[in-house]
Amino acid sequence: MSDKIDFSTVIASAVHDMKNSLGMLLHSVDQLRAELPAEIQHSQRFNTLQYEAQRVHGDLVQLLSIYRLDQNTLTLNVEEQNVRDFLEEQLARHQPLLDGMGLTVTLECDDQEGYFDSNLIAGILTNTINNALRYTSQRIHLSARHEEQYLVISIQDDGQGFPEHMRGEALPDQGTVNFSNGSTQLGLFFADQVARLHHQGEKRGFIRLNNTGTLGGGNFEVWLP
Amino acid sequence: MEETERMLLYRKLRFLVTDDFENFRKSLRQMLRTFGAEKIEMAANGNETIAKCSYEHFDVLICDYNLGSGKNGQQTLEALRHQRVLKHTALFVIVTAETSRDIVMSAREYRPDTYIIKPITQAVLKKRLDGLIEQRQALYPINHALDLGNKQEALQLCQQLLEQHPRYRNAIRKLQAELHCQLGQHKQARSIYSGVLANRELAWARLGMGQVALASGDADEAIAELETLITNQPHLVEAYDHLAQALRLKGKDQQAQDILQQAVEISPLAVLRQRDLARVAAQNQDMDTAVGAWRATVKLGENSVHDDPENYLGLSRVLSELSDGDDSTEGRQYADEALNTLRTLGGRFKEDPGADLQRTLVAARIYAGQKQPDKGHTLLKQIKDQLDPEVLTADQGLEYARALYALKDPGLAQNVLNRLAERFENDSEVLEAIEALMDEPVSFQHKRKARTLNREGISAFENNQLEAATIAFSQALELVPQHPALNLNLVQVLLKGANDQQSRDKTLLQRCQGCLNQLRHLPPQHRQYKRYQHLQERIQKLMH
Repeated sequence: MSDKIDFSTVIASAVHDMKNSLGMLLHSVDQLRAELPAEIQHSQRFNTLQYEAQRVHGDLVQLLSIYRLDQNTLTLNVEEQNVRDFLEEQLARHQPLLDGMGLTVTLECDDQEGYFDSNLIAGILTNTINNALRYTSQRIHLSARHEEQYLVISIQDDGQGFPEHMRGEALPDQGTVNFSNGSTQLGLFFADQVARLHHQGEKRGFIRLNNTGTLGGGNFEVWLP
Repeated sequence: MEETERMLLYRKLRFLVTDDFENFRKSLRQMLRTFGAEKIEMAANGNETIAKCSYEHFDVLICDYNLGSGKNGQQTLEALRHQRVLKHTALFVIVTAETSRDIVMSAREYRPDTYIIKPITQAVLKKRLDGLIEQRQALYPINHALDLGNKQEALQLCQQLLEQHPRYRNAIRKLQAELHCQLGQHKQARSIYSGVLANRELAWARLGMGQVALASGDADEAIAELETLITNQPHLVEAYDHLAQALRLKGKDQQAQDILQQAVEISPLAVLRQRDLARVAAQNQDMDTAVGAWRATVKLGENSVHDDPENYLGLSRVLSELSDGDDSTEGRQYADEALNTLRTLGGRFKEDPGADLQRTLVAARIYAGQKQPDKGHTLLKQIKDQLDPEVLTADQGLEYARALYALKDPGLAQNVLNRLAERFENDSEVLEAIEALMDEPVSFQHKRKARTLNREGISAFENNQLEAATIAFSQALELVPQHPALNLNLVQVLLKGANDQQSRDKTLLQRCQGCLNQLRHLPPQHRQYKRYQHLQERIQKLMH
C-alpha cells in the first residue's frame, strides 16, 4: 500500500456504509412507530427522530449519486412508469411521518405513463418532500401533468415560499455551491443534474422553482421529456 | 381495485420470504399479514428456497440479494428459472440494501419482477406489491397459457387483453413481440416493435428490432440497430451481447471482443458474458484477456447453475498456452494455476468421467510445455484404454491431439485428427476446430506472429510487391510449416512471379512442390483442399 489513498473513494465507501446503517435504523423506527401508543406516535420528539434520520439518509443517498455522477458511473435506467403508482409510492414512503406531524397531503394525478429512472427521480422527490416538510405549515400537494410534451411533477407547500435568489430555472452550478451560508443547495444541484440526464430527442429535462402554486407557498417542478 | 378485493387476493396467494436474517424475515411476514396474506413460508438461503420451490408452488417470492455465503438472490432466481420451477405466473421480488453499480446492473439483467431498495417501510412494500399483484391478475391468463406451454393461445390472449387493459399496453406488446420471435414469426414481431418505436424511442423495442434482425439472419441491420441503441443507452448491456453476436456472424471477431469487453466493464458479474468474452478472446489469441475472463467465469460460476467443467477446462487450456515452453517463474506460476484449477475440477465433478479424461489430457499438455514430457507421457499411459479415436468425443479427440503435438508426436496427432475428421465430416464446427489445430499446432505467440505475417504477405501480394509477399509468407511458414493457406499462398506468389518472367525456373518449381508436400496430410474435408488440388495439377503440368 505505497500508493496515496484516494480520499473521495474512502469517503464514498464510508458514506455507503453509513447509508446502510441508517437504513436499518429507519426500518426499526418505522416498525417502532406502529408498536407505540398513540401519544408517542404523534409526539414531536419522535417525529424529529424520524425526520432527521430520514433527511440524513436522503442526503447520503444523494451524496453517493453525486459521487457516481462525478466518476461517470451513474447509470440512467429509463423505464416506463405508471406515474400515479409511482407518486403514491413516494407518498407511502413518507406517510408515517406525515401522519405523525399531522400534515395533509393531496395527490392529483391521472392514470398516465411516464418514462424516467424511478430510483433517481425518487431520490429527488424524497429530498424535496423532506424539504417541504420543514417549511410547510399544514399542507403538501403533489401533482403530475403533461405540458409541452414534458411530464411535469410538482410539489407544492403552503409555507413562505422560496426566497428570491432561488427561483427560476437558472440554478447554481457546482462552482457556486456556497458552504458558508449553511444552505449548500447541493440538493438542487443534484436534482438539476438528474433531470438533465433525461432526454428524448433534442429535449432535456430541467427543474423549476417558483412561488406561483395554488397553495401559496413554494412550488418545485421537475420537467421530464 | 377495491381494498377489500385486494385483501382477498393477498389471502389466496402463497408467499415465500427469503432472507438470512431471522428478524428481517419475521418483520416482512408481519407486514404481509397486515396486507391480508395468510400463506407465508420462509427460507434462510438460496438452496432452501430452491428446495421449497421444487416441493410446492409459490405465487410471490420476496428474496434478499445478500444471503450470506451461498447463492445470492440473483443466483437463486437464475437457478429457479433454470430448473423451471418458477412459473410464468409467479412474481419474484429482489430486496437489496445495495445500490452499487455492479450489483444493481447484474440484478437487473436477470429481470426480477421488481427490486426494492432497503429500507423497506410497510407502506412502500404494500404500494409496490399492490401494483405487481394487480398486473399479475390482469395478465394471468397469458402467463397461465405459457405455463401450460401454449404459446399460440398466449398470443391470442395478448391480443384480447390489449384492449381490456390499456394500462399494461406496453408490457403486453413486449411479451407479444417476444412470443412471435420465439415462434419464428419475425415479420409480426418486427411490426410490433416498429409500431412502438413510431410513438417513442423505447430501449426494449429498439433492442427487439436488433434481435429480430439477428434472428432472421440480417447481421448488417442488427449491427446498425444495436449500435444506435448503444449510443443512446450506453448502459444497456444486453445490446452489447447481441451486437457481439452479430459481429461474429460477420467474422469480425476482434470487434466482437471489444464490445464484450465494454459490456463486462459495465456489468462484470454476469457469468455467461464472461464466458463468451473468454472464448472469443482465446480465439483471437488474446490470452491475457482470455485468462482474466475465464478466471471470472470460474469464480462467478461457483454458486450458480453455470458451474460447468468447461469453465475449469477453458481456464486451464488458456493458462497452458501462456505457460507453454516457458519455465521462468511466470511460466511456472501459470502452469501451477492451471494444474490447481484442474484439481479443483476433479474435486467438484467427481462423477463425470468425460471431464476426468479431458482433465488428464490438459495436464499432460501442461507438463509437456513445462519441459517435463515424462510426466505427460505417464499421464497418457494411465488413460491409454480410453484414448481410442473411434470412440472419443470431438472435444476429447481435439484435446488428445493437442497433448500429442505438445509431446512432440505430430504423426499420431494427425492420425487422430484425420480419423476425427472422417467421423465428424458433417459437423462443420468440429471440422473447423480440427483444421485450426492441424494448420497451427503451435503456441499462441507463434500463431499470432504467423497471422500478422500472413496479412502482410497478402497485402503485399495485392499491391503486386511479389518479393515482399514471398518473404512474409516464407517467414510465416518457418513458424507454422504445415499451414495450408500459407503454403498455397506462397505457391501462388511464386507462380505469378514465374509467369511474369516467362521463365520456368526448375528450382522455383521445386520450391513450390516442397510447399505442396507439406500438405500431403490434408484431408479432403479441409477448406483448402480444392485449392491444393488445383495448384498441385498446375505444378505437375509446368514440371513436364
